[in-house]
Amino acid sequence: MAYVFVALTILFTVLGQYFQKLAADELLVDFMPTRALDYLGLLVDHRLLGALSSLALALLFWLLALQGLEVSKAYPLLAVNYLAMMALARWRFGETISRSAWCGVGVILVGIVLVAGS
Amino acid sequence: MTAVARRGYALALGSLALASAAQLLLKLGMARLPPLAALLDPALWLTLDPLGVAGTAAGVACYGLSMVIWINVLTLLPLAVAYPLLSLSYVIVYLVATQVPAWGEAASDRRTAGILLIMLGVALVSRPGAAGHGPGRRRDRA
Repeated sequence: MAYVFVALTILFTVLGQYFQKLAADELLVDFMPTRALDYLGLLVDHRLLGALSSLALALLFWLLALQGLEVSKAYPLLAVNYLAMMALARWRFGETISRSAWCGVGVILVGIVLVAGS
Repeated sequence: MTAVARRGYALALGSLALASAAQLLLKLGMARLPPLAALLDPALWLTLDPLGVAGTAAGVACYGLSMVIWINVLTLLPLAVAYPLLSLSYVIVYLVATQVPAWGEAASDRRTAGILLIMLGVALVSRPGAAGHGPGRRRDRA
């Protein structure tokens, strides 16, 4: 069960990053507040709300994961985020990922397999 | 070293220490709290171990603070320096959790090797030009 909680932590972290990137690209790049009311609009924006609630859920699942796993084992497992983030950057946001970056992700995954089996 | 870089490294160390402390406190705190089902029952909230609640709350506070400082670090240091620095927190957490009796976790060669590989991988991923370090494709006006 603890590993399910780790997986949910990673899922919601990535979802949070996705919403943050959307907000940065679509909302904040051209954000030029002229009135206090403009800031109020940010509070109800679905992308920022999505980012906040995703991060809150990620934290909640992380707390539950820690109940069942040693922190020296569970914490490094979160590095799966790098793979997920890279995939998101590549296939959702069309960024180019160099060969050395993919190699880095591969090395991270080998490290994670070692930690998971330790 | 420029003043900006010095400030960047100092803040990065602060963020690193807070991020590591956060994980260690969350572990100690949550170990003293009951499983999810009991946590969701308001009738049991007053019976929760105060040390567990305090440790977890302190961990969440350190976590939040480390993120705020981290955002400032990113404006001062290149990503290729900042991210490999952050992965040092895996080492700090590992060392404290295995060497301090309050955590008492077991060290192993496999786990040590795994954490070192993860750090190496993060350094590769963060190399300049490794990923799109620019703003990426602008979705709104591509």
